[in-house]
Amino acid sequence: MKTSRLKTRIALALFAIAVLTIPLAARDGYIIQLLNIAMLNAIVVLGLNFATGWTGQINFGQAAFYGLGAYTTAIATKAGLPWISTPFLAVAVVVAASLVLGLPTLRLRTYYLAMTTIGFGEIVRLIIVHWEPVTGGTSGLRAIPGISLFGFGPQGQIQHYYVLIAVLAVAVLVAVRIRHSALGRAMIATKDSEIAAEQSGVDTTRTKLLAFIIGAIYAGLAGCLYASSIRFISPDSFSGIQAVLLMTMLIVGGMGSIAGCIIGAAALTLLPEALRFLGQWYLVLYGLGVIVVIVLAPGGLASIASTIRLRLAGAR
Amino acid sequence: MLKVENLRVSYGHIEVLKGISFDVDPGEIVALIGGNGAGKTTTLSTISGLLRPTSGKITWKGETINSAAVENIVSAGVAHCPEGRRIFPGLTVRENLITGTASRSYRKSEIEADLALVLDLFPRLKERFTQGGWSLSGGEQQMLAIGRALMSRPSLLMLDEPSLGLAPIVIEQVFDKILELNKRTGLSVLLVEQNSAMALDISARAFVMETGTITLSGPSAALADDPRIREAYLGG
Ligand SMILES: Nc1ncnc2c1ncn2[C@@H]1O[C@H](COP(=O)(O)OP(=O)(O)O)[C@@H](O)[C@H]1O
Ligand SMILES: [Mg+2]
Repeated sequence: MKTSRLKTRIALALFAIAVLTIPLAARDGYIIQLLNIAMLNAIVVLGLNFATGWTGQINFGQAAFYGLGAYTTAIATKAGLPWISTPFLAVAVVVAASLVLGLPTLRLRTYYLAMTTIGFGEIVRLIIVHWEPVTGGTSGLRAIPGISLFGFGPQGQIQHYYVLIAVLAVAVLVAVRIRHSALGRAMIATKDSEIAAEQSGVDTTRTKLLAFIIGAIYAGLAGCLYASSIRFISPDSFSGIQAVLLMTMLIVGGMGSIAGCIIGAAALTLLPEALRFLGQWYLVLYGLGVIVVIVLAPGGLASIASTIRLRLAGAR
Repeated sequence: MLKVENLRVSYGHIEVLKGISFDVDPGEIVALIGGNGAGKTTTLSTISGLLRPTSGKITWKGETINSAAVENIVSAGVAHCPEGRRIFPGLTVRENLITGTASRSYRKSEIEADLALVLDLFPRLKERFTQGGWSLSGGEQQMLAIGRALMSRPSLLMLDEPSLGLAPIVIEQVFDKILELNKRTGLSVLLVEQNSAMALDISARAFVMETGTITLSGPSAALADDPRIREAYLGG
């Protein structure tokens, strides 16, 4: 027991060192930018995990919340508001939107949330595309002001990389705290058996609503950071396809697993770029890869390590 | 303490409880027996607030709870241990038990004390304390479900077919625990069972249900000797 915990610690420490030294090795700005997007996606997927991975509610609105956070931030800073106001504005907008969506649908015990969030994603996309004077329409918004606190802010890809690592670490810690709180237990109880959860005194409607809102806040904050670190946004980044992709990241990484969220987001953000040399064929390979993971490791990539460990222990 | 009067419940247009009445006194074990589809589970679900009656009255300690919210009924002291066990496989044994406290805010020390009581009653759960709920055997799951219900500090425990799907020797253990619990703490128990012999054995009174009505009632010992019961439920 003790040695395995020590091993985990050592593995985590090595991983942290590797992650922190990547920018020194890969001086290529494009790779760092890709890693930055992977981390932003990881935060969004961690958010999706609250409602979908832990509480069992299917949510296809996560890309739209991501977009709402990004557009709110871009529009506010371009209008001259100080950057420090944007995380608050982004959170206010996504909380309002998630309440409007969640309150009427989460009382019902079927797939209403899934349906409603698909519609919501489409509405958000249409507004972004058609409200051109404000949102820039299909061509998006450029030259978005960067992160700035009292005149200080990260400059260049590498400094953003470290800022995003720090934010991702906080996002993970908050998720871990929530998982081990009464709310986290209520989420998993609701997913495992809604009726038994209610019979134990869990308010399942409140639990589902909170999971949905917390997830939206993760997406809204990631959107805020996306706009002010990538500094260019367009509707494509927050479309229905993106919503499906986020769900795929969660499934491939491992539903309900915090490590899985990060692995899934990293794999599905980086892989398409790595396979780009295949041209048209990359989509085929990518699709096959996703299917192979789902079939061979239903618990996702995060479960492979523990499966192997169990096999090895069994063989001994 | 619990009083059910003329309770009627329907699913859509189909009435499945056709005006049943019964009661449970403090410290008493009362059995509700009857065949599959008689309406036993529906009765418990209505008492715990998951279903709403079309007419009739449920009183708990003198207050009508017909339209109270599920979590308020739990926090008022009525715990429901559902049919088919329904523990939370994704939570550890410890977390499953603590989830039973969700209806009220307890202090940490109170939770630890209650955990100790439950583990004292079910030592098997202590061995499995940090394991996932999915890894438990059927009997252990039933004990966990009962333990979880106890964590809400009930004065009435409603058990829906605790013997379902368990081996005879395990059923015996579970019923021993229920009896021990009742003797030790004075907890009232409303026991729903198809296993009529066991239920009549440990209960003081019993009600017999058939397609939504109560057809017989009385002291369990007398019912166990009743030829109608012997023929229909005790195998002659
Ligand atoms: N959710 C439901 N919808 C419609 N009918 C139901 C539902 N649950 C139970 N019933 C019907 O109600 C009757 C009583 O069921 P139930 O209370 O589960 O009986 P028991 O627990 O005694 O086996 C049965 O005829 C059953 O088919
Ligand atoms: Mg039943």
